[in-house]
Amino acid sequence: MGRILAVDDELDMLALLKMIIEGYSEHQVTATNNPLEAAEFLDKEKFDLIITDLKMPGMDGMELLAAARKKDEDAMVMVITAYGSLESAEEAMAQGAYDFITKPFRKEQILLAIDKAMRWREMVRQNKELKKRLEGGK
Amino acid sequence: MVEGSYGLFYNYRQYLFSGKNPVAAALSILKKWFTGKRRLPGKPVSLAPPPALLERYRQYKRLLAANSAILTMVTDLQVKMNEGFLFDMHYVRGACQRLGQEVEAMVAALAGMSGGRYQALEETRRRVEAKITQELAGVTLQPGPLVLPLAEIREGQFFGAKAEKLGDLVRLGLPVPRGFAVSAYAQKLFFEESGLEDFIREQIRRSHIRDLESLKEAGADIKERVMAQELPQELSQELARHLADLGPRVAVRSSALQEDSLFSFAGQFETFLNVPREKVEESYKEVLASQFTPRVLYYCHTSGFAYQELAMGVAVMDMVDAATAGVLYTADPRQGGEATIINAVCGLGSLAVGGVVEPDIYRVEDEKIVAHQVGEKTRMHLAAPEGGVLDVETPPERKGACLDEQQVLALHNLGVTLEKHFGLPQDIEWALSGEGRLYLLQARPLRISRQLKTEYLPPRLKGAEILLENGAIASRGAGAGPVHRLEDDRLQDVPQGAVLVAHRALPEYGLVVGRVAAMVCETGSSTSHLATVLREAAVPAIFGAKDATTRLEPGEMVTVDAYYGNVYQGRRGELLKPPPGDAVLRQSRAWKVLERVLKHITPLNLLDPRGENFRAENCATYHDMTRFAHEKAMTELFQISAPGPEEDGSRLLSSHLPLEIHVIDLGGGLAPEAKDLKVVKPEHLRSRPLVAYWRGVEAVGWRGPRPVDLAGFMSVVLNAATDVNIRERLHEKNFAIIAADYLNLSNRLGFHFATIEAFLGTPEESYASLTFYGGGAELERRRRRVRFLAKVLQRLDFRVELKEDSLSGRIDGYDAATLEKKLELLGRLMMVSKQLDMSMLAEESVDQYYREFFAEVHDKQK
Repeated sequence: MGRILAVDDELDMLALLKMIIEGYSEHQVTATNNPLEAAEFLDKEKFDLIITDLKMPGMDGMELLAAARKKDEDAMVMVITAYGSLESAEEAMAQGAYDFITKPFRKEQILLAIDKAMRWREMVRQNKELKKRLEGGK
Repeated sequence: MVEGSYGLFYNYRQYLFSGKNPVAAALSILKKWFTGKRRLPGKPVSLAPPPALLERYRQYKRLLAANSAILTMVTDLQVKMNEGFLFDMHYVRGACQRLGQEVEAMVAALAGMSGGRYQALEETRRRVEAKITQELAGVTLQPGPLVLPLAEIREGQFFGAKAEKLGDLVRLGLPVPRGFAVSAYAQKLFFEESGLEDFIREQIRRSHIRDLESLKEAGADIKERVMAQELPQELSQELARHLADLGPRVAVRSSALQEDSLFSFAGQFETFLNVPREKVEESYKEVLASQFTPRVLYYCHTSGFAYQELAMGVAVMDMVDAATAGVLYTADPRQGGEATIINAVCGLGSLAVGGVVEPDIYRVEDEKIVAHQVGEKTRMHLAAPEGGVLDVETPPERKGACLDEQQVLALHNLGVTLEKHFGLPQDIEWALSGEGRLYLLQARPLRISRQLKTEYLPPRLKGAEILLENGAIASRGAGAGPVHRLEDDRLQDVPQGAVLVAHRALPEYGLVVGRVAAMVCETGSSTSHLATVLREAAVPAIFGAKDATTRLEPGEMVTVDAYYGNVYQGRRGELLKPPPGDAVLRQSRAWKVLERVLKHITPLNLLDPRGENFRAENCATYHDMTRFAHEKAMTELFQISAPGPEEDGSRLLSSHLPLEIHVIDLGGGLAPEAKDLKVVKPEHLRSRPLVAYWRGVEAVGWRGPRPVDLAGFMSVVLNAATDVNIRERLHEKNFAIIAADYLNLSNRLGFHFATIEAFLGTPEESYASLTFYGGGAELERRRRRVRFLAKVLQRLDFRVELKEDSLSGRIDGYDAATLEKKLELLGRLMMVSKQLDMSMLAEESVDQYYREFFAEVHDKQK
């Protein structure tokens, strides 16, 4: 079970994301439509995955991505882009986002993407731990 | 006239001595005599197509582009709605806007083609667009009663989801505490009369979207101001009047209009328990103020402050001084499956969820308690004597199980009743009073309906005989029934529950969607009119299933798998189970709005262009308008050749056949090297339909008339001399208006007139048509000829209409390659039928010539 932070200024989309993820997986979702509040959440809690819309008023997904990566270099961020804005998704990937998904998407798509992200995160974690052990053993 | 007569005899003598068929010679001369119009000398001839013709064709192409874009977008919307997609209002608004633009372009193109006719269509378009705009704007809060008893509250009165549901429960006779609700309109009235609305707008405007603190401050200021304002007198009086019917203590609960989706976590709406009557006004205001959280204010910033989305109703009910209370789920919200889950705590139910205390948990399956876990329940909530809630330590004697078996089963039964009534798993708040009476406090759809893992169907069922495979999905789903093969478009013969199998996917088949279990067509695409209609009616369908009409035996039971495009023998139950629903997605506002909007977009009411109701003013949806505009555009395009074009802009097609055809190229109809040629050869033709037609013409070549009796010959002479219409039209030239994909050939061969039109684009756009009338011989012989033509054309799948000696035939629903073959045969047919009427002495000749025609085609193909 993982902890996910979902950020989208469209309340409807946000509600769906939370319902879908919690309904069809074991993950817990903290959801907010306000990216500033999301940044506050990041100060208080540690999330396994951040799913954020890219285009939001106030603070866009790119800024949130930067804030998250600054806080934790391994932060996993998946960005949601609107149809037809592939460039911004590529830009986000270049800035360290783990993956992107284009709206509208099927629920299976997002669930599989989350699954993949969680497994990747687990691998990175194990990898780090093993490295640490090896280094400690020297 | 003298000169003309002399010319006639002079020519006839020439023919006689040239050894040609004398009858043909005579006819040819007669024709020349009647059609002796001469070209004016000296006028320079332009090769550029006449602008008016070109413009009409261009408008047609524009219309086709819009038509195709509309059908693609409609398909996309249907798929997004029904195939498990997550989308938001941005998507719905954007799609509707793009769709509206294309419809507008289409209507404008039709107006352009028709010189401004079809004004009614533009009016219809505006009407439909207005309806869609209204749906997108959402529900507008309407004035209505400020307060109503729960029993009188129904959907659509703006009392909020919770109050509406409670009203439903009361009317069902279920044990709901006495109560009433305050409408969202009452809030609007309060905010408007007190000046709060302006104040809130100002606070939102002044707060900074990039500063969370300022949003929090704005929220606090708004709350303070709400609490300080007096309620409108009218509302205050209504509250007092209804409170008089209730007990001394009540519960005040929010009932937001959008509670189940939009604001589910944007605002934690307050609920106040155990409120003394005199404090109800204050609690009411507190509930209203609770919505102005930073999240909601941020939302207001980004979307504008809209009462339709913010206003809420409030329910006021008798307080149940509960000994035990809790929640009940009629399905397991985590693992799915048939079970009732009951959480129970001591005292009031406010601690049953939220994880502060560990409640008792009961699991009921098949009317039996299958699991039971007593929670620690360290604390409990009690109704305080002075009002409000006391949080106390649970006394040791109350730490045991708080429900007995009988109570658990009574609750379970209540849950079953509710789920059955609402048709969806429910999340229910309940309370047991000190006297042991059970109360329902709230019910709503269970958030997670059933957590089913999506079951993936295999692409190919094991152990099932496959009859057809790899068809394209036109409408997703599966259906089973006996095969009914559609013959001659006889829709009235289609039985209930059949799997309809057809060559083509014509829009008018939509007339039987209510009767069929599934549909399989050999041609057609997922963006066709029919596919849209099938998806709308949720009838599974596969298009592009080659040989379906030969491989599926009439009467045979089959299962159509329109998930993977296969057809299986027999009834395959595993496919027919409905797929796990996307009930969760359907709770979203965007989904609900799209569902409403599509009612103005997808239904197709104008199914039959020959039907009485096929009129612009009867269009009710974008789909209707699209179908209508496309159909009428074809009629308008056909008119491109009438009145007969001038020679300007045309060039002569010269071949070894004695046929004079003036060619007007609207673009791409001729090879580039023919650009400046005044006379072009058949090898210069690039117009796909004309090239195909010409193949047929050349295959038959120029033949003289068949042996004619004297009566036949004389009747030609007499008819031609006396029929004014024929005489006039004999002056007309043969014109071929062409483009790369288009042909409009007005053709006079002998004494009859034919117009052949064809457009080769996508299967939905492509068609070929023929109109034919006239002839040299007497009427009965001419009638025989069109009966012969009709017989051939019907075999070629044309829809044919006959009237006296005229015929019109049309074929559509086929791909361009198939139509090319048909056009070639049409070319043959036109050449064969030249002057055939004269020799059609008896009715038997109809069958005879029909057999000869196909025998010759068959021979050539060998």
